[in-house]
Amino acid sequence: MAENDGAGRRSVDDGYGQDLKRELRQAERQEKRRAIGLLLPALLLVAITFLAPIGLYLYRAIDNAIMPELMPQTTAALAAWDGAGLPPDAAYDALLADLAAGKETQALGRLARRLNYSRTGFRELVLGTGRNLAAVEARPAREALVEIDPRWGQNEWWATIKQESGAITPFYLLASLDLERAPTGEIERVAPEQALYVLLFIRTFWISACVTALCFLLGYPTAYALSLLPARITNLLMILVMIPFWTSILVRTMAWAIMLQESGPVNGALLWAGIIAEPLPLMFNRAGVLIAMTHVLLPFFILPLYSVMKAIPAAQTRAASSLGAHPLLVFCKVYFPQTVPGVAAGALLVFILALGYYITPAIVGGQDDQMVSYFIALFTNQTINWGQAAALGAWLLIATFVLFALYSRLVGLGKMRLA
Amino acid sequence: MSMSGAVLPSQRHFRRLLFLVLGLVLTFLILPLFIILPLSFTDSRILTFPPTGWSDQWYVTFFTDDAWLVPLKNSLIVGGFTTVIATVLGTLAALGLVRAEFRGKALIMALLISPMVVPIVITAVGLFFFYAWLGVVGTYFSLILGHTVLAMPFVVITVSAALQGFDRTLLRAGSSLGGRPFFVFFHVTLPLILPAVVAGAIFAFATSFDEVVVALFLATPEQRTLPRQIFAGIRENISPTIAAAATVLILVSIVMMGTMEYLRRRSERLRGVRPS
Amino acid sequence: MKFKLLLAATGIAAAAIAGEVLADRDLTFVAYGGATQAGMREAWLKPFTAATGENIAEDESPSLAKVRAMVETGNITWDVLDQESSEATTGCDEGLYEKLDYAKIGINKDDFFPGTMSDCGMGVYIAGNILAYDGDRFPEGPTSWADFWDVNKFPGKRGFWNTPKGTLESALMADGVAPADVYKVLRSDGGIDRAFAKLDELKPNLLFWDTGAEMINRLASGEYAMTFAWNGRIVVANEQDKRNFKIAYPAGFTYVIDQLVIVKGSPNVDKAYALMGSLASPEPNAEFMRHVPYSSTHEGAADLLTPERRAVLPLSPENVAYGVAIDDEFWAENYDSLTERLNAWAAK
Repeated sequence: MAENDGAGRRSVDDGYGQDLKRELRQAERQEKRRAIGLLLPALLLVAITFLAPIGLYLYRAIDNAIMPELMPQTTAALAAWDGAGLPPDAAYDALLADLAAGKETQALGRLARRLNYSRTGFRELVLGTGRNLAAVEARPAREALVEIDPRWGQNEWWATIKQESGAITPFYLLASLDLERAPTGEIERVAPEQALYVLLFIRTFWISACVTALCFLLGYPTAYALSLLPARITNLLMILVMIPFWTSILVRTMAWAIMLQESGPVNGALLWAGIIAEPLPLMFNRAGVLIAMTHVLLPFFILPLYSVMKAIPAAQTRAASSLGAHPLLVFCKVYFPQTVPGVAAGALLVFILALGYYITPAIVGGQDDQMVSYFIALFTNQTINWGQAAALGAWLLIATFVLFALYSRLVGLGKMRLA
Repeated sequence: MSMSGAVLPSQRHFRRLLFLVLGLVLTFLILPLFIILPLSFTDSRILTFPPTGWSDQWYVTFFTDDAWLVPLKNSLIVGGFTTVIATVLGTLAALGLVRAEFRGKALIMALLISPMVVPIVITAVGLFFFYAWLGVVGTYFSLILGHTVLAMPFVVITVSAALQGFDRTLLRAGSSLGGRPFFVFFHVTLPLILPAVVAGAIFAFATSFDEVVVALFLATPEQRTLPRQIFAGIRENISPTIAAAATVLILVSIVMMGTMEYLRRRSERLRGVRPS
Repeated sequence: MKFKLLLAATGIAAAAIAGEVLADRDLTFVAYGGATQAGMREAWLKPFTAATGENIAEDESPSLAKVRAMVETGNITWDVLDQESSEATTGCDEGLYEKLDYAKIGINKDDFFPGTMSDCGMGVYIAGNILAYDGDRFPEGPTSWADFWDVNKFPGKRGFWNTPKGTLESALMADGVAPADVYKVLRSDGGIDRAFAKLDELKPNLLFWDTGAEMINRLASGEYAMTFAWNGRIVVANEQDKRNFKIAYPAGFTYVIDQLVIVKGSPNVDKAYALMGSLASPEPNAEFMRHVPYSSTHEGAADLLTPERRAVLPLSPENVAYGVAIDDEFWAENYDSLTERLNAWAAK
């Protein structure tokens, strides 16, 4: 018994510490479980109605299932072909069968469109061949197809089909960087007159950078002045910053569309004041885009910066001044460095938001002021090139996430505040 | 080192310049919104400034024509459901975020906030294909879920900000006095964070009420919202009714902003913080 | 509690889906908005609703792409669309539009101008893509597309519709090609390059419009000194807004057949057929022309109009001599690649 008692006591002694730890761990685990339980509904919602749709959408940037689906026999027959010269007779037979099947199911239009992205001319080649399939009769497929269209006797058209045979393709991702695969598989630049997207990305970044710079130039003195004024006045003036912040982007853009017209109030005032003799073109150009986007994004810069400035004790600058330092020197050496985090936070936020702008440039911009988002919408709605739209979206999203990660490093998402 | 000639601006000049900039920037921010007001009372069919005569016909149109009443109703339905769902889920998530430290917390926060930063066109097109695949494009359901996911980050941010400055000993006190978790939540936590929850709800409603791009891709004429109708007005059928509609949107924004400001001051007063 | 809330939310959502999926959708009619759609509403849709009790929902900007998304996903929210004939043909080839059974529509094809009815599209009106300007701004207005290009003589911005169709033809006319020869030139080697080279000259002063309302509003606000326009909108703006817009028919113009199509898989095919059938007699077609002066495809319809109204139609005897029909075959083959080329050209 004694031994047992001893053993028991020892075990209790030892176990007491362990139990406590275990209990603590258990409590912690339970706490974590509860935390996750609380987070779960929101996470599920984001995962199902946000991440999944965007992931599926971005998959379209590489999705090429249409080729094996609509050309099952041709893609199979070309797998063995080395890509030199012309493919074997079996490939011609397969093509004929695929086109006949496509015609039957009214799918030739889709196939023609897809191939046309990779090589201009494919649309009429496929549809034209489809229209003339009746003329094939009992002749060998190769002879009949080349007679319908001599392009079936040229290597490049076959090489394109072979290259785009797979269920996934890098085609769109490359195309949205103005690159393409040569028949040999090397990656090269597209012809200069086709090149567009590198320019488009540069323009998107450039407009965002200009808007960010304008927000800094206008927003910094504004936030500074607001932080110097007595609270009563600041609170009143803050309303003038907050009203636009709360007003819909669409409404604000529309307001600028009215303001900047040739016969609009801005030109009217300038003409009246004698500053200009002819109305200035302010709309449908870069100036209009920069003015309207700066207006929309400026509160995002001013508000966080103001709260940083508010927290800087005035005594500090006063002390430096009282030691005889010139005000400008005090500002540069003492004050400004302390506001840098606020500037960086505001600037990054403005830049990230500007990258994705669509509505504002679409309404006040000209055709050479449109940003990446405009082309995503255009390819989705007008030209139906969904793969291209998704590829542009993928690159834009990558850029956004890199900057967003930087933002969360720099600012910390937990410290994000609204208004 | 002579300072003669006063090349550098004195502090007074510097301040004067500063307040001049302040005045100009504030004018720049507010003026375009004030331009819309007189335009909405124009008697002309074309939106040019200044108006040649006055009329309230565009407001009559706005409040009597189904082309505007139905979108207004749709905006309220979608905004209402969005607000409820986003506020409930966002508040729960914020409670979860501050409750414990665990690995991947930063990532979860980033995920929850990401709808705010993903370019809206990508979200809208992605949702369009997704809901089209499910066969629910052109239903309130898809539009509400689309807006909810955009609105929730605002609730998460607002509520978790309030919870961070929140004395957790109060919770323990509540629990140690034998309060069950739900009791503690409703009688201790909720009253304390309620202003933030309401603020988040207002943000959520504003997000939905102002949103146009997702509506552009997801709504059919039957679910067309107010901003979507204004957009159509700008593009397809320009009339001063859109100025009247815009004025209504601005007024709603001002009311929401006023409510927020009231809440902020009230919570500062309750916490004994002096108005800053 | 939170579970209850969740359950309630899910329940509401589920009920919303079920309710909406099961509910019958109104027949949805989609056209290019503005005055044209308003004219269709008065002349066609309202009488149809009055006669049958069927409500009609409306949408704007009928794009082939959106139809494609609807058909591929089986999520059809549009039923009857106004499409230009080349889009109707492309959509037909791609299986996006119903092949029409004209006997079922209940119209006699012989009552309509030949060539206006196709497999999937029932031609309803013919619109002129004309040169329009503000007569108050230029009393001695432009008389040719070459004048349209002359920004020294007529300073100001120029408008074109954001599509190559009609734009390239107009550019060639500005380059001295007779309207009847534009497609010969476009089909020849270097013809397309020639049109783009001509557009290059205008580029600094060119601004595309996307919708008819944008076109009219910019012409009215002075943003455009002159623009490529749909003739009907110009006349309506003069009538309703007391403008003094002028159309330079002698400059040459293209005209296009607009057809009604039914989206494949529409749950409202029967109603769509009934709506199309309601246009069998001359009267609704004439009524449409009274609202918007496009030329009806119905042979007897113009006879019901006043001589003044007939004179402003694009296919009036005076005007038709200056026009050339849009070549559907050319555009069915080249529309995609030229749209892409125009987009890239404009964006640089």
